[in-house]
Amino acid sequence: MKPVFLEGFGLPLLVVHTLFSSALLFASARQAVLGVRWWRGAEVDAAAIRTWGRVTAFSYGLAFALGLLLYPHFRVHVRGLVLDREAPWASNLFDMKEGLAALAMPLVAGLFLASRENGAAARGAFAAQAVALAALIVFAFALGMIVTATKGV
Amino acid sequence: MARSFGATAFYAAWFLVAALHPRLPWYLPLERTVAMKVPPLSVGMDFYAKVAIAAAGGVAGFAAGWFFERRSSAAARARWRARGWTWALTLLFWCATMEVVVLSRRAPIALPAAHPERPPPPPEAED
Repeated sequence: MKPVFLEGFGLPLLVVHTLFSSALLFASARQAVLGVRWWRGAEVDAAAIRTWGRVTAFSYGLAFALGLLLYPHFRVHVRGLVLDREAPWASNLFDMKEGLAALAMPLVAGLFLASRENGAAARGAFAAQAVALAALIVFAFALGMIVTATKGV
Repeated sequence: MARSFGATAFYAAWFLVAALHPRLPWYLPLERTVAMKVPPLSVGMDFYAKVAIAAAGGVAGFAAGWFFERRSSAAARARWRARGWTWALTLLFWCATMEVVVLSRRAPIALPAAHPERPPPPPEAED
């Protein structure tokens, strides 16, 4: 039987994945606050929108890519051998988290492109995307923490 | 307009895959290969295929939106941008709801206890 892909790197990958997820949580919340303030007519620095758009896209890209790399190890050693048997609810929460994180992809890309327009983007659409993204990320992050507290690697 | 079309197409593709359950390629982490079905006593992952299909849909939608954006007036662009984001966020809501509802009812099938990948149980403490 071949070893599972990157099975010896479970813990370091999980730690880095969590670090970038935390950065994403902060950046998406910050972007939502900026978006709502901008939509309500407040003066918002275009450079701040651009910066947080970049930080969100960078942290999402890395967190998602690391999650994809970690997934085979998790699927076999954590979910397949432990969670499916002893905590099936945590298996379901994990897959929920993965699905919700993937659904954030178009929002991240859209906000990144909109943030590069130097304030020319539609404010209402920007705020709606930023709030939807922050809601998805907060929910996915909370689910991820619950699953990791049950069994991480 | 291109962004909203791309997002709408991504969510539409995700929704269709989740609702219709088409035959997808599965990554088999124990065998380290890709197959169209999961063998007995093994595990499979269709997440990669779902993400790839939705992303391909998103790219196609983005390209279509970009094409129409070049050929429409400013008023039409603003109108279609608003419509596009309304559709995208509505589909996002339905996709997220479907994920939560379907997965909250799922009964996962565990690998058998005697599976070669299962670590041996810890030795029992002796009195």
